[in-house]
Amino acid sequence: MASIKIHGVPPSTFTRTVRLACHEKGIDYEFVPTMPGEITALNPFRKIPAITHGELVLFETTAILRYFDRTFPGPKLWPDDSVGIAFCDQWVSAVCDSLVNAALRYMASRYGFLPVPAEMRQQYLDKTREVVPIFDRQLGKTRYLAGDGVTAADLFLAPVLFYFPDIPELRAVADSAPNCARWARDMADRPSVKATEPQHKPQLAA
Amino acid sequence: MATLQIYGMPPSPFTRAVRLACREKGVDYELVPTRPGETAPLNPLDKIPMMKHGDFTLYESPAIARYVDRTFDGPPLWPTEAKAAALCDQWLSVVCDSMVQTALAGVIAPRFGIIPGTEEGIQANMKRSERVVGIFDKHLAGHRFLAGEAVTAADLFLVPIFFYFPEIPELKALGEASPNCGRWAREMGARPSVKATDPQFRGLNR
Repeated sequence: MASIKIHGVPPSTFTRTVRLACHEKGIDYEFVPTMPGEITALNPFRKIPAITHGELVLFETTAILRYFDRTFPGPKLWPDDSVGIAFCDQWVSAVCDSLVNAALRYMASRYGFLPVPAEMRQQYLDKTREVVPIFDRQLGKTRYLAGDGVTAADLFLAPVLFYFPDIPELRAVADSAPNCARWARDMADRPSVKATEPQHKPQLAA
Repeated sequence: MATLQIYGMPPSPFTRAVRLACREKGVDYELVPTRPGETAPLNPLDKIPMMKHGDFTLYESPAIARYVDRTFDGPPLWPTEAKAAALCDQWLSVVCDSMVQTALAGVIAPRFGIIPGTEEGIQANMKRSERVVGIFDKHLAGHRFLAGEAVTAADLFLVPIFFYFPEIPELKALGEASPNCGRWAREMGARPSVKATDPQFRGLNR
């Protein structure tokens, strides 16, 4: 029996980040399909994913990835040197804050999960158009977000960016970001990414 | 010259969190008054705070707090044991996500006149804030500080937000109805780091 149980749903980007981390580190896990409304016993804030490891219940994706990296052998998700760690932390935060609050909200509104007025939806799209070029410039300088190797920062970015081709307005944003596209091709070849491809994707709202 | 430069503004909760981290560690820093929008090109995301340590520039507050903790002597801001560190990460992330999205961005910022907001939107975020603060209050009933018996980074990120509650009537009432948060706030309020970073800010309207 796997000692790690991941509670979430495959299309959830943060659920996929946690699964990617397990695949990259070679951690055996059991996936327990759980909708946000069903997770209150594990996470009172009602967000997916959450994990259990023996008696430990843990939520918040960044906390989960750090716990894996501290507790399990396998390739490190954070660099070893202090400046490398700091850059990785910085880009994890930049994805979770700037990109998620723009692009992921835009997707959620297009998929009909987040009912917002048209002008707010437009603001999310405008912000996405501002933020993606910042990631593109970084990926013009370094092969992966935090340097020459894959780190946690890439595992946060991949599930978000991999939805861009499904939404015409975001596909256009991605098409004007050549370094992000090169990075996405590199990432898409990884067994972890192939193994966690969501089988069912949400449909665009009318 | 001070060891570190912190670029930001005293009323900014994340600037205060980073200053609290420096003070708790005993790191000498200089606050360089900087508004959001004035940090480019060093921070392409144009957010405050930003840190400089010699030639090294870093942004995103949790990344800065972790760097300060790793780099300097002084009391640790994170527990060393893996499970305790994970719970500290978890609560830090909950503050930066659920608490920021509800009480800070949804109520405090519009009430202070920093971002526009409708009365209807503020009331909806007040409801969400009540649920989130209720979970913190329940947690603080069984724990002296957010991640256990000692102050950690999680507490330092909560202070700047929670300490604005008394300035906003509906949040003041919520704070008063949360006795464990109140007990925690009195303990935190007695710390020299918290006293030294009081922003004395009551919004742009007053």
